[in-house]
Amino acid sequence: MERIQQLLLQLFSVFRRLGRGQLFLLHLLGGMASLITRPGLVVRQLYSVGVHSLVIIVVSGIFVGMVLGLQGYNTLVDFGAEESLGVLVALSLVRELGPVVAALLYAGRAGSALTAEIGLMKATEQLSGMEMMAVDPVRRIVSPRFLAGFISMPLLAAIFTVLGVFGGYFVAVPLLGVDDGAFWSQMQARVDFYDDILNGIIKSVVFGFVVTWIALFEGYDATPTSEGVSRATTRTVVHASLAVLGFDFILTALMFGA
Amino acid sequence: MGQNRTVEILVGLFMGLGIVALLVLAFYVGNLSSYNNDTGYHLEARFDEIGGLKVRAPVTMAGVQIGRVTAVYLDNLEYRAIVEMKIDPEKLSLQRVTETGEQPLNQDGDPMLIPCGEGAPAGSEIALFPECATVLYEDAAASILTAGMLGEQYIGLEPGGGAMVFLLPGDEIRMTQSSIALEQVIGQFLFNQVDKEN
Repeated sequence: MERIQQLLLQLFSVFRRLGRGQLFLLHLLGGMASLITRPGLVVRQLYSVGVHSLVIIVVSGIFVGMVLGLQGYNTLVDFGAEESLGVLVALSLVRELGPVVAALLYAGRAGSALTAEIGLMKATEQLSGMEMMAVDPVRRIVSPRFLAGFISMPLLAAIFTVLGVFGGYFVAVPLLGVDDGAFWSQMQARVDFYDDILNGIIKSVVFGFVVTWIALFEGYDATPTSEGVSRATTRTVVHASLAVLGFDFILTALMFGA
Repeated sequence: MGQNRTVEILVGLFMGLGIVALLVLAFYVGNLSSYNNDTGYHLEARFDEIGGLKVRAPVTMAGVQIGRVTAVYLDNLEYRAIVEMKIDPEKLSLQRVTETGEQPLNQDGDPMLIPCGEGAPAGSEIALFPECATVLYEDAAASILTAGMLGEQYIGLEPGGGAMVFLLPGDEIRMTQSSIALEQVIGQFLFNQVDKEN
């Protein structure tokens, strides 16, 4: 009996957190309007969310592309189809790996930083201090970060994808001797703007929305102790990564499923 | 203040880099540049069997892409597939023809090609058809071909030449050859083998 009661309580607390997350999202979206008059806040957050994530995105994009080129070559060369390597690299990056891996890296790099920052603000009572001064902390602190994350994610995914394609090109053409013209022309013939590239961009927009939302909510909802902040940061990375992979399946089924 | 400026510059660079990446994706990796939509004239053709031909499949002549398939649907009366294609006039040009739809001749009696939009050359007294015709003859042929053994299917056009009358934009190409299904060819081959043995 006691156990069932506990289980129910836990279930309720899960739903309560979900509900709080929704309300938090509405609140922060409501704070968007006031950002028009203060674009400086967003620019500063774009710097810490976007520019600081650039290094990890650039390096991993190039390496993921190079690995794809190497692995794809080994399989394709058996069928004498190594000219299709460009198609393979570009399609897998544009449709899947670009948005997903960039979002996972973004969750680890920028998402955890957002959670820790806001959680620490809460633990050191900066947020309550703002409320005392009649400044809405969601509007002042959270909304600009959300907008910055929402803008950064598609750009980071696009940079990741393009560098991945060039990484694959670097392995395929100079190292493995795939024909230069066939690499590009087959890629351009088979990668469709609407079916592939636009869907990839839609994916990265959705991931940016979800990851930033989770990161900000976890920070804002953290227990205001050092342990609570550390737990919230871990939760951000785990939940955001799971959400990215789950949403990726749903979006892929919607976009490319028969 | 100086700190602020660096931040702004770096953010601007980041945004610029992202937008350049999006443009590279659209134009260099993808094929957005080949979507110059509204230019081009239509032709259609009816096939008994189109196999795996899809909308946006290439239309080629002598292996050079000159257009794309824009629609595929069924003719409910004849139970044949109608394929509509759009041809890029920069690749397969339109021309002026005489009132009877034939190619104008010059003083020596040789046929000449007057691109659409230009009048008859000075000195010649040729009554030109007010509209533009394609450079395909009326007995032009369209066939559904396959790239390689298992590749994509596309349409190959042949210009014809027996008739001296030209197709107009929007006309139907009457000589068509359906796609060849590999299964049928193999089936026929096996059938013939059995016949020979008996």
